[in-house]
Amino acid sequence: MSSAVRCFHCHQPVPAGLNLSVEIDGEDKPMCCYGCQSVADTIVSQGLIHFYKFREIDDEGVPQALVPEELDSLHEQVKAYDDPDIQREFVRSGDVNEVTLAVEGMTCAACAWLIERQLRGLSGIQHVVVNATTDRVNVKWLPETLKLSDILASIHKVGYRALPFQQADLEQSFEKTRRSYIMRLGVAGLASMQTMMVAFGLYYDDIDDMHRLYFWWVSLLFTAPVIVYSCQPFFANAIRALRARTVNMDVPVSLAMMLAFVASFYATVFDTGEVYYECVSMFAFLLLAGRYLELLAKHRAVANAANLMKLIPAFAERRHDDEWQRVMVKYLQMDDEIRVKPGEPIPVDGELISEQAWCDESLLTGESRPIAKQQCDSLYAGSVNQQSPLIMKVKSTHQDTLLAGIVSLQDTAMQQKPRFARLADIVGRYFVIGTLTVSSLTFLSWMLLSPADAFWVTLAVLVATCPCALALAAPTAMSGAINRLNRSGVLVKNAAILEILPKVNTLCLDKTGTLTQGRFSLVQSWFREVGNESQYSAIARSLEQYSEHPLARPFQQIAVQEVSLDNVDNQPGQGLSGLHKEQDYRIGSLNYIQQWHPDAQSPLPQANVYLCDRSGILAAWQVDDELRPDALDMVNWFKKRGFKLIMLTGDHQDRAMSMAKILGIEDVRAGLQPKDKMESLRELQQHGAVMMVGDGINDAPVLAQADASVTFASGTELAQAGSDVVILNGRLHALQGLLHTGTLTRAIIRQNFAWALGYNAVILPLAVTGHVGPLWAMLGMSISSLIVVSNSLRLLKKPRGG
Amino acid sequence: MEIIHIAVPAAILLVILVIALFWWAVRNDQFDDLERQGMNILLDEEEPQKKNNKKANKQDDDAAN
Repeated sequence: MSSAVRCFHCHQPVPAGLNLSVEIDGEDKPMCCYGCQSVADTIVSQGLIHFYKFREIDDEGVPQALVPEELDSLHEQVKAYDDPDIQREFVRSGDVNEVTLAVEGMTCAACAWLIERQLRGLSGIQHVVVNATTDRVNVKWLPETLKLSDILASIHKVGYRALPFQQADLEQSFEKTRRSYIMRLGVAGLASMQTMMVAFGLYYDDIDDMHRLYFWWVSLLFTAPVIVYSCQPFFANAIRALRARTVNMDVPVSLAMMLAFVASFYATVFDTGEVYYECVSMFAFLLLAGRYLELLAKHRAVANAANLMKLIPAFAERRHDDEWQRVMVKYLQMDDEIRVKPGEPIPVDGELISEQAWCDESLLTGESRPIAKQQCDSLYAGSVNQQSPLIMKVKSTHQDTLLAGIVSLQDTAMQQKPRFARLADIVGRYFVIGTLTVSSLTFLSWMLLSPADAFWVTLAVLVATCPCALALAAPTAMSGAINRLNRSGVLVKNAAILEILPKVNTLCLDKTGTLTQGRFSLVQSWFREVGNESQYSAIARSLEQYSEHPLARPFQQIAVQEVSLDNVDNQPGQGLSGLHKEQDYRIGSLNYIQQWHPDAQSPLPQANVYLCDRSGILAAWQVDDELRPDALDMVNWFKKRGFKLIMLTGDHQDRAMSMAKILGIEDVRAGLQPKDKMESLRELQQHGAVMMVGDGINDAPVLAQADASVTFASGTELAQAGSDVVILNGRLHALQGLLHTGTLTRAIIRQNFAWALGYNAVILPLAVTGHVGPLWAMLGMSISSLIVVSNSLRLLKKPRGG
Repeated sequence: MEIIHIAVPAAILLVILVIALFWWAVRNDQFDDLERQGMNILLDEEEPQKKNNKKANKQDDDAAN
């Protein structure tokens, strides 16, 4: 990392020449932008500087703070949430209202504390709980004294975004199951501690019979609740499996537990034979722990998915007599006239009433250049108005044809997504069949040899070969991996993805918004005379101010000062001309320049905007959708590892090709409709597992169908709905981390299985020949489980940087 | 060794008590978020801005319905 001055709040480098600071703890700390400054100010003025002391930060820094302008527009946006109509969807109301919000940007416990403190300072707040595991805030407030929008705004002030979200139905049942599991786990844990304690007393041979029996009864007392209460899920699953005429892990587990308990019970009542109480309760505890971890990992994935589904009420401005009224989009009728501000998405399909407009349809089609629309042209929901406010007529109140078509494509794609059998299930099934076969054979052969011992030896076999370690092998590794990814800014929505990742051999990439930033910027520039850059830039900026063409916008950043211009003339689709200090200037396309200089040649091959005066071309720029800074790095990394890289884009062939050339991607498929993208993918899936990375609405169906799919937090909701993984920090670099974690997880799961199976291979012959007493069976089982868990914990170590 | 005739039942009672406590804790959402609680001990030493309201459920406010 460079040693540049870093912002004290968000750890991003401070831009040169910017001098912002906030006094924290008596020292002036540098800030990188007005957003961070205002957030830090709020934190200091609320007396919450402890936050800075205890927060955890890595090299990535924390998510960008919101800039004040954004805060203002957010504030406007959140006002909508005060509408009782909207609140009905997510607020539990009464004398005290209650709401659960999803928070973006929380990274550690200090963040949670900060939000909690910030909210407690508001009057009318009754109760605040921030959950750092699921990134949610639960608030109860008095509706008479406080508005919901104030609560949201107050969270924004300390630099986090909080919005209501679509609670998944699954979560309710998860929550119930999680609770029942944790209680069962607690009972099994406490009971096994007690039985182990007593069991150690029993391992000494010089214990007299009376005490031995007393201890047996005590163990029975502790183990009974474990069998009756804690083990219920295993028995229920086993019975369900047997009813369906199959076997699963729970069958031998339940069998071993039932047999061991019944035998021990019999031994206790009739004072004969051996007891296995400590095995039963330890067994139950370890297995429940595995199940619990698995449940947590899945729950986390489901909660992540729900957090992404934000409830953002869509509003539109509808003409009512002679004024514009804000109404909710769902109340729009056919033939209503609505106005769309620049930069806002078009809410429904319709027809343009204004003279002309520029629409960015890249999310729908992948086309990176804005589309010029004339009066009466169709506008599509989901595209973004690029320039002056446009007026349109509503032509469909439901999701439009284009979008609805894509959504239904996505639905079919969801069903076509390949299903991989999980390694754990495959190994488990064979293991179960093996164990049951071996135990039956053992029982039969011992019946022939010495019928008195047959039952006890068979029991020892069942206990010794307990699949505890096997049951823990996959879930512990999975939950470790999900946690690790979460910490590095990668949200896993579908836990099964981790097992699929190592199988991936083809990587499909969308272009617009995935490999590129998804917005225009000045990629290259050329100046005739070095030294005059600032003057030319200033002229360019001033001229372009008069243009509404999307390509004109990046010019507002190239120069600080402006110059005065006269006689500015705007030729739509060509360029602009103007007079500055008695000099004529023109800026625009090469065609427009060639009207003055017929034989002018482009000094810069890819340039598409030129500045000239009467003497010739002064400067040239390439304005384009710029590559993400880490795109090349990422592509090389994957190429080096032998992945097939394919670009799937809806953009034009030539633009896709020039981008692919820079990156070194050979296989380019451009100009694709969502349907064609799916066709391409299906054909690729014949040759192996495919990972798709995309962000647009047009990518949603392919994302849903790919074996593994990744999108960005900045991507569209539809894309997020169909993806397995969401990258929060907007870095392509995260793909490498994702793949690396996938491979690592597979390695760890395999090591765990190898260990568990190896241990079983050693202990089984000993158990079959009757050499394993309950103590050894017990010890072996616990130690092998511990080894598996500690092996999985390696995944939690900080991911390697770089 | 006679002591165990008293110690073991005492242990049993203790365990029952602990399980009861544990269940109470689970039912009261104490296990909902294990990431934060370790930090809270460090963070909570500042003077709160204002007196926090106690839990609202026991407040008899004469709310006008």
